This record gives sequence, C-alpha cells and structure tokens, in this order.
Amino acid sequence: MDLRLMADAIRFLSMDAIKHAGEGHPGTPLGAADICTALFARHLKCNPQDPSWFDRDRFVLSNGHGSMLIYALLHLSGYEGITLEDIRRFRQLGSHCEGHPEYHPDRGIEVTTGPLGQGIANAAGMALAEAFLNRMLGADIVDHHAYALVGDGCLQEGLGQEVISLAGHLRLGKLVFLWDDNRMTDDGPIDLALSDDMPARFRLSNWHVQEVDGHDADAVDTALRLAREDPRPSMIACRTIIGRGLPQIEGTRAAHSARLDREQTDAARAYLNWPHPPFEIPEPVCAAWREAGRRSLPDYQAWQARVAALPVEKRRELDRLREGRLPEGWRDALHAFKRRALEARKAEYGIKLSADIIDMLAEAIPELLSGAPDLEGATQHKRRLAPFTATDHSGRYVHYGIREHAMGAMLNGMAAHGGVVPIGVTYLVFSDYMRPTLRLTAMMGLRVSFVFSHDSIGIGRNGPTHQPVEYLAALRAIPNMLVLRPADAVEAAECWEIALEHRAGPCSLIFARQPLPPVRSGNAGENLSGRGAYVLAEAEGGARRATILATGSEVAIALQARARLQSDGVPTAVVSMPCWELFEQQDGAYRGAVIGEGTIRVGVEAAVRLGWDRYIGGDGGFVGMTGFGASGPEDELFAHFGITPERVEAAVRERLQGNT
Amino acid sequence: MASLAERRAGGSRLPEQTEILARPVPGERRMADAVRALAIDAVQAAQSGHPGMPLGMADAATALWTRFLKFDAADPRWPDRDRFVLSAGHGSLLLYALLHLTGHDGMEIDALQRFRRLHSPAAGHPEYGEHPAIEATTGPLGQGIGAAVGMALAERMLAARFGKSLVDHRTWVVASDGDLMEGISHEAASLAGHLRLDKLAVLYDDNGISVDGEISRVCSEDVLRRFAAYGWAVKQVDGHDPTAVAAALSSALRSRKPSLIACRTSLGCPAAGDSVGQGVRMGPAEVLRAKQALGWPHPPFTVPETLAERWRQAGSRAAGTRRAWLRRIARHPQRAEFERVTAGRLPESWHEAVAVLKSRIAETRPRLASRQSSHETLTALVPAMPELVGGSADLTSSTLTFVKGMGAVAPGSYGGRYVHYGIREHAMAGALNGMALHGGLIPYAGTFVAFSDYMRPALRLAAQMRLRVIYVLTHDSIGLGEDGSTHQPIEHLAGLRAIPGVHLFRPADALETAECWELAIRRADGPSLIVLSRQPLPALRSDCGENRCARGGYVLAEAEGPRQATLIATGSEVALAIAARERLAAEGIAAAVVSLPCWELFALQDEAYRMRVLGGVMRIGIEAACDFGWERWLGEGGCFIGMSGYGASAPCEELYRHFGLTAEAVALAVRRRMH
Repeated sequence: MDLRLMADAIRFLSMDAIKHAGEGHPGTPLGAADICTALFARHLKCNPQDPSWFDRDRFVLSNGHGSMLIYALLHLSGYEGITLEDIRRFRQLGSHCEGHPEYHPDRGIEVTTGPLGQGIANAAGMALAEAFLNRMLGADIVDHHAYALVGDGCLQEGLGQEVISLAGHLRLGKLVFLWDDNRMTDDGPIDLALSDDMPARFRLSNWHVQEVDGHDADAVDTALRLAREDPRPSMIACRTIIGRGLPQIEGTRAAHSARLDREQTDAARAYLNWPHPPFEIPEPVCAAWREAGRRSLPDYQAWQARVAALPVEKRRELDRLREGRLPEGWRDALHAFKRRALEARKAEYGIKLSADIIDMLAEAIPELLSGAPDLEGATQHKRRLAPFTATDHSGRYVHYGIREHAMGAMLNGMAAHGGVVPIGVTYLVFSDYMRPTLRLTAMMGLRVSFVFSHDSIGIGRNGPTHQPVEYLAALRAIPNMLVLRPADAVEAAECWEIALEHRAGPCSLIFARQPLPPVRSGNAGENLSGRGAYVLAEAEGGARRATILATGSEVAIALQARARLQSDGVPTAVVSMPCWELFEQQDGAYRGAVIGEGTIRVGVEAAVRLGWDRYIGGDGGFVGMTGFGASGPEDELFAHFGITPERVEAAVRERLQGNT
Repeated sequence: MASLAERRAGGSRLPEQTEILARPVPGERRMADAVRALAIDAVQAAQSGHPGMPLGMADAATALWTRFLKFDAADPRWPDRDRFVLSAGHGSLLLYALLHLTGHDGMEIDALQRFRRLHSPAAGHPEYGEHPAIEATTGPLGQGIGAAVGMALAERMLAARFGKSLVDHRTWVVASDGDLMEGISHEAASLAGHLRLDKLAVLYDDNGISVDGEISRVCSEDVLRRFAAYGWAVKQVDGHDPTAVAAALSSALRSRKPSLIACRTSLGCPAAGDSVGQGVRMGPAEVLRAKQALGWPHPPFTVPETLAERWRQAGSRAAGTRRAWLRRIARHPQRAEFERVTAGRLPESWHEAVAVLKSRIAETRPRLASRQSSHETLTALVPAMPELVGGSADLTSSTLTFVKGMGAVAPGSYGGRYVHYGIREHAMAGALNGMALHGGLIPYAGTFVAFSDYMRPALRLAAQMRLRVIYVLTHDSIGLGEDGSTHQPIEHLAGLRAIPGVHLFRPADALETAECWELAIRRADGPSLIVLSRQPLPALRSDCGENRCARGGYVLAEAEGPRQATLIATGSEVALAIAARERLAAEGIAAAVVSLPCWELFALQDEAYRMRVLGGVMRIGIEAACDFGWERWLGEGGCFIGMSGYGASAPCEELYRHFGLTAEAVALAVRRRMH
C-alpha cells in the first residue's frame, strides 16, 4: 500500500473530525501525516491488542494541540480504545478524543500533552527509564525506543533546550525526535520570533541529526532506520507544509488552528483525489492500516515466549516492576528508622533526614531512581548510588544539571513508562521552575516523589530569592497532589511511607534545611501522619481551651508556646498537620475533634496565610509570613518576622481575653 | 590559555592557578586583587557566601568596570548609564566590592563587613532596592539574563523614540554556567539573537565547575556554538588576562549581534583551587594562604590608598559623559516627555480615553468576552500612553493584546510597540521585568492563565522587586471549553494569589475590565495580573462614575429586603451569581451579590467595610476554580461552588453544567443551608 494513501486517511479523519467539532488544529495532523505514517507503518513496535505491553515503543505527540493526529493513528492501527465514534465526537464530553491527548496507556496515549515542551521531556524520561531497565533486566526483556513528534513551539520553550542538552549529554540513544518543521506558528511565520539554527542546536548537544522532506514517507522511513542505528539520540528535521491538503490554507498561518467548513473539506477531497464521504476510509486503506498494526506481532510473541522462559524469580520480579508494586518488606527499614528516632530523640537537619531515609530505601527498592538539578551536595540524596551517565546507564542517580524543568518532566516520563520509582530533589523555591510539570504529574495521577528542601526563611542568609513563602499554598492548591511537611525524624519516616504507598498521584515532600528537634515520643506503631493531622500533645489540666496548629519546623515552636500556656494554666493542645490533603479525607468528627472546633485556634507556619483560614476559623490567629523574607542568620530571621513561641502565645492570649 | 583548556581533564586547579599567579602583576591585576581581597574578607566575616565567582571573575569584571562600563558613581540612577546585571547572583560580592570600590554612597566598607546580615545592603543575593546601583534582584538562575534582554530591548525601543542623544547605552551581564543551562536563558538568548540586540553582552564565567562538581558531569554541549546558532557573536578568552578580555569587550562594542564572551577562569583563583568552590567556606589558614598567593599583605577590609584612588577614578570615569548628557537633555525638545516616562509618571490625560470608553460601555452594555473587553480598553489606552508596550508569547490573536497601529518590533527595527516573544513565556516574563527595571516603559504581555506557570519564577521576582508589570492572562477557566484540562486553570488563581505583592484582577464584565486596567496602570509598586475569559460575559453594570473595583470587592446587587445570603463571585461567575439571586428572589429569598475582582485590594479595606460587603449572613463563594483560600471570605459556615479537580474537553456551557457551576446549583446550596 502506498504510504501516501495511508497518510491521507489520517488527513481526512482529522479534517472531518475538526470540521465536525467546529474547532481544532488541522495544521499538525495534516502536515505531519506522512511522517507519522512512516513511523507507525514501518517502525513503531506496538501491539494494539495489548496497548500497555511493557516492551512496546513509546510514542509521544509533544505538540498535543495536533491531537487528531494521534487519535487517527491509534484508531486506524487498531486500538480499540479509540473508536470512530470517539473521533466523531472529538472535543465533546465523554469522548476519548479530548482537545489535547490525555494520559491513557490502555488506549495508546502514553502521556498528557498540550503545554509545550513537556512531551519531548517525557519521552526523554521514558528513554532514560528504558536504558536503566535494559541494564537491570536485560535487552531480552527491555529494548524499545521512545519517539516524539515535536513542533517549533516545544523547541522554543526553555524546557525543550534543557532536554536537548541533557539527552545528548546522557547519550539516550533510543530517543528519536521527529521535528515537524512547518515554519509556522500561531502568530504567523516562524521568522516573526525565531532565527535559531535548529539542527545546529541538536548537533552541538551531541545528537544525530538528519534533514528530510517530511512529505516523502520513504525518506522519513530511511531516516528512522538510520536514527535507530546511531548510538546517539536522533533528531529528524522533517520539512513540511502546515495543513497539507487543504488547498486554500496549506502553508499559511490560517492552517494552524483554522475552523474548517464544508467547502474547504470538499476542496481538499478534490485536491488529494479522495472521493470518500466523511469519516469513511476505503477498505484497502483500512486493511493496510490494520496490517501495520499487526506488524509487531511476531516480536510481541517472541517477547512473551522469552518472558515465559524466565526463571520464576526473575519473572516475579518483572511482574512486580510492571505492576508498580514495591518489593516485600520495603517498609522494614523505615520502621526501624522510626524506632531508632524515637529512642535517640535528637535534632537533625531536615533534608538530611530525607537523605538518610532514601539511602536506606534505595537498598530495599532496586528500581528507585534518585537525582537532583545540581544540588547533590546540599540535598544529599545520592550517597551510595552510582551516577547514571552517558557510559553507564545502570546508575541510579541522575545529575540533571541546572535544569529543574527537565528533571520534573523527565520524572513524569519515567513514571509513565513504568518499572521505576522516580524521585527528584531540589530547593522548594525552584519548584516554580518545574511547576508546569507538577500540574501534569497530578493530572495524570503519576507516582512521582518530589523532594523540596530549604523550605522557609529557615535557610537564612541566602535571602528572599531562596526563601519560600507562598510555595506551600501554591502546591497545596494543585488538585491530586499530596503535600507532606514533616516535623521531625519520626514524621519524616511516616511521610516517606505515605509517599511510596500512594499510587494515585504525586507527593511533594517538604523538608527544612535547618535542624528539626524531635517532637514525637511514645510508640512507633501507627503512622499518625497517615491521617494528615493529629493531636500531637493534648491539652492538660482541664478541657482544651486553645489549639495550636502547625506543620514542619514550626511544630517545635508550637510545643514551646503550649508549654508556656500550660504552665500558666491554659489547657492547650498542639496539632501537627503534615498533610492537609489526607486530613481532608478524614471524617468530619475526627477533623472537628483534632482542630478543636470551639477552642481558640492559632496556626503557625513560616509561610503565607492563604489556605489556613480553613482550619483556624474566622476569628483564629495566624503566625507566619506576610511578605518576602530577608537575608540574615536564620534565628535572627525567625525573631525578625515574629515566628516565635512568644508571638504564638500572645495570639492565643489576645483571644482568651476576647472570650472572657 | 592552553593550560586552562588542558586542565579540564586533569583535575587539580593548583598548577594553572600557580601559572596565573606567576604572571607579571600589572596595575589592573592589583585592582582586581582588591575585589578578591574584599570578597575573601566578607565571606570570612559572614562565615558564609560564595567566594568562587567573585575571585574567578575579578579580572574580567575589573576590565569591564574600569574601561567599558558607562556609569558615574555620583548618580547611579542616571538614565543613560550602561546596565550591569550580575545574573550569577550567588556571586553577589563581586557586585558589592565593585560598588564599594568605585565609590558608591551606601555601599561603604561596613556594608561589606555586615555581608549577609539583617539590614545590610550587601544581602546574600543582590536585592533590587537595597542599593540604587543594584539593577536587578538575581539569584534564581537564568533570571538575570532574562531581565538583561528586556533592558537591552527597552534601550533600543526608547532610542527609537527619543533618539541616540538621550538613549545610547549598553547592557552587560556576568553569568555562570548555571544561568546558561536553565531553559529561560535559552529562550532569552534565542529572542535576543533573533531581535539582534547588539548592545547586549554576556560575560560568562567559564570555570568548568558547578555545585555538583565538574560541569562535564552534567553538560557536554558547546555553549559558544549554541549561542552562535541563536545568532550571537561569540568569543572565548582567558578570563585572567585583562588585555584579552578588553579586546573581546571592544569587539562587542562593534558587533552587529549580541555578544557572548566565555571567560575561561580558574574557580576561586587564588584560593588554592580544589577545595574552594561554590559556597564552600574558607578557614583562616586558607584566607592567609590565598592572600599570600596574591601578594596582598593588607589587613582585612583594607585597600591601600593608591589603589583605592584608582578605583574611585574609575567610578567617575564617565562623569564628563554624564554632564554632556545633562547638557543635551536640558535643551532637548522631548525633555519633559523623557523625564516623565523615566520617572514613571502617567501622562496627564491618560484616563480620559478610558472614561469615554467606560461611559460607552455603560450605555451600550455589550456582551463581550473579557479578553475582548481588555482589547477595547487597550485600544483606548495605547494611543494615550506612548510608554505602554505590549506583546504575547505566540498567542496574539487569542489574548487580543495587539492594538492596531502599535507596530511590531522586528530585528533591527525597534520603533514598534509590540513584541512577538515567540513560544517563550519564561523569557517574556523575564524581559518584562527588565523593561520595567530599565524604566521609560510600562510593559504588558499576554498568554493563557494555564501557562502562567511557565513564567512563575520571573513573576515572583516582579513581585519581590515591586515592578510595574502587567500580565494579561486569558482563557481563565473551564470556560475555554474544548481545549480541555491541560489548558483549563483550576489552581492557578490560588497559586497566583499566594504570591505576596501581586494584584490579581478578575473582572466580571466590560466595565470592570476597564476599571481593572485602570487600576493596573495606576499601580506603580508591583505587578498586576488581569485574568480574563475566553467566553462572552454579559454586562452587569451601568454606572461608570466611581471605580468600584478599586476597593477590591463591592456589593454589586444588594438584597431586596434584609439580606439572607451573600453570593460572592469573581469574573465570569458573577453573572451566574446574579442569575442565582434572581431565582432566589422569585422564591422570596433575599440574596446580595458581591463582586470580588481583586482580593488583595479588598484585604486592604477596613474591617467595617469588608464586613458590610460580605455580610453577617450565610456566604456562598462561586469561582470556576479550586476553593483554596476562599475560607477567608466565606467563614466557617460558608459554602463554595467551584471545581474540585481538573476540567474536561467539551463546549463551555456543557462543562459548566457538568461540573455543577450553575445558577440552579447556587440557589440549591442556599436553600439547603437555610433549612
């Protein structure tokens, strides 16, 4: 079958769906149809009958606005999760053909894309996971590529450059980008805002670069073959005409996101000699696509046979990794750590607690991959782990360089790939550099643990640019993300247990730079942090009159304030609230009892107030930050900004007087 | 030079530093040594700080500050000075030492002695506002380069407007490896190359070391060729050879492209190489050794008078140039206008055009998407305010930020007032900061609310520096419809409201949009975000006298009879609240509707006003976003109607129904609570 006809099937499905929906982006599906036909019909290793086959090639549509392209590809090659009905209902509620592709591996959609630059970084993360698992499990079991279709937008974004640079550096040889070089953006011709020598940018980051005519599917086919043979990551620059096939608008700005009408689609039918009615694909073309979808079947069966022949222990291990289950007994080390902390009761640097815990967990969980963007020394989450380098892909610590955004998006790619437990560490202030990816992690519900240290003015002299004040609120606002801010070593162990057990979405674990004194005593049994908030110290000497609510490093301040109030005969409780989101999941009675409804409530957190009113009520007090920090020693800063036991005590007392 | 290149593989920096130190010591070296000695002493006194950059770049910076940088320490705010941005903000002592040595008031020796202490202008990282010669707050990597591109662009645009006799200066940046690895610097460099900002030069401290160790561990690309691919002129020099640095700086003066000068340096030279890297403290023994190696016998914080005098002379090197400029401006026909825009004063009659627009809106009550209303407001503002310059990150036709007649800035042509930033939100936000820091312009730019996350680090700095920057953020909720959840903001409003000093405006109709724009224009001490809908919104007001948004929130429709409920909403949901109020009225329930376009302004009102607006009765909050932060206005018995998770892909009206954001749902919530 002529690849051109197969590509036209994509073109017409796309334009019919876009016309029907009333809007959409025809530019990419029409312009890149030939490129993707070459990929899907000749190269992509997949099995539409088993879309989540572990050793499949990954395909990412990084320019997600061209979503009809991937829907058409999946439908034509036989993925049952994308039906013709879904395509007819493109951009309608309940259709699996959303405006932008949304993560659904069982339907062949490997990641959610749309925000530009994310998809190519995800693909790089997939390639990294593949490279690691290839070493861990052997090439018999893991040996696949990650392909991404990419537009100019992804490459203009800063994230795009971070990924180019890092993927080249790490020599992720199974990563292939197909650049849809159509010279057109939303605002107009590319030279309105861009003069980069794009191939040069790739070449000098140690990529293999080829330039082909993107409408010559055979040329793309050849380039793909060469790309796979080259040990470097590959970029194939495919020169295309945006909206190819729509005679009035192809090659123009209008093609990017034009609304299509009947007249235009009719003209396209005449222009490309496609006499078939809307949403109808002639049988021979259909058959050719189905055949393309079955192309990897022998590979698939051979792989299944190899897996079946594995020794039972190895097969169990593979199944465990595929299903994302942690090894049995992984908690033992955590529990031992917790018991030791309860015995030792000593103050320890917040981020070091996390580093100690990860050092233990890395031993128990062989698929755990850690890494940081150039803050290894300050965050210490490497320890005994070997680095993942260009020459050794078995390393478990990734030096991301000063590229937070790439780290975040690559973690997403690793999690979406599966088989690894990815962890990324940086300062809390720099979480903003990767915020677009955090949102996507949460939206896709991926299991990624983000460790954010240096969490407040407690970092001291580096000053306000490095002191988070609004970050806790901004992270807590992201739906489907657990934000955990432990108060001491015991809570640190509990929070890590929660984070690794949690499979429905990401966790942000927030740690202080400064030492955290022990606040917990008593038995090591129940994971108290698991309820999100709990009474750490109940009021004594009568009914509770005041409740001090705090998180992280401020829990110790709350305890000191409580001691002052108690000694003065004011029965005061301290509530530790390491995770608001988990607390919200508790029943009303528990929540009311813990926060002390009807008592005087004061919240303490070295951050802004936004969000705290929920727990402290209308007349509650809050001791925290009202603006940005300052450069000075940390103890002076806490005094300067009034985050002290005295101020907490005063906030309670003001309200005691008001009440009497 | 060869030794510098060769040692990359070798490990120890001692031999190369020995070689550098063994060179003849010209006067320039001694001047640079003064910078080094001060940096060493200050880090020693603070027992913290990053000595590596100031020590390594002392020679290059001395060449720049003594022979090229156009400045007069007597007036650090002289509008036609060259801008110097230390993008590698962790090397802050380099800047403090230079400011001190060149004789700037306010950076006396005690400031350096109190480095990194509370209330010292010598903060851990350079902080804009701590000293008039600190051009930008830097520290978060890449941001300084982003701001510098904005400054260089502002210079070109103002030169196009006022001519070379008033505006003719350069922007110089000292950056680190880290700055160049961050995505924002890629975006900014690509933009600067495209626009041919040839008066921008970046000196990059090519020391081969980052916090984690040898840079080759995390980066193997060729930075120079990458910048060449962006359209930059690139050079590599021995950063410890003042003559070579000066030659490279001279060629930057002649270049028709922006310049990148890689200064190969030995990190922490002469602090005995291997141990003193980023943020590593030196002990007294190392301090002594380093000073001995330099041949610097003077006590701590002491610079011998002859050397100090040479530095002070460098500080007044351009005094004559400045006086000549003052003479030129004194008789310049555009003097008043130039002084007005550089002082950030608005033109006398700027709001007349808006007043006309407002009365027209009040009469015609148009049903418009607020992004369209914003466009109409801009259409009124742009001709009235020549300093207002716009742009967008490749979403011009969606954010409606372009006004006819503005003209676009293009390579080599800067007379336009609109910048096509490309798909580079982060660089755009960085450039906005730079333009505002430069002065003479009031910049605004547009993208989708969902993409505000891409520029958040720069946006935070705008807030921290209190810059007059206006962000036009459209497509503000599920109301954008079919593009689906990736494009539908849920947590963004809360996330942005959390940033101290940001004013977030979410107007409900055309009139409020004009009012919010007025407030944003008027606001001189911090950034404003104007959050706008894609979908059309009905007109809700017919009064155009007082700017009612100025108080942040107000009673849009009082209850008929004693108030039983208050419906509090923002933006597109205010109309929904009005519809719910009507339903409730039909059932005999008296509800008031409060429009709350700007929480931050509302929080500034006195308690009595706020209580009067919010009412002591049941409060219902309505916003097509997550509830985070709403408790503040709703109180404990309150109820919120909005989004609890991510959106979906479907037409706007269907989504509002699907997620239960309807007048019926609001009315039902009120009724439920009453019973």
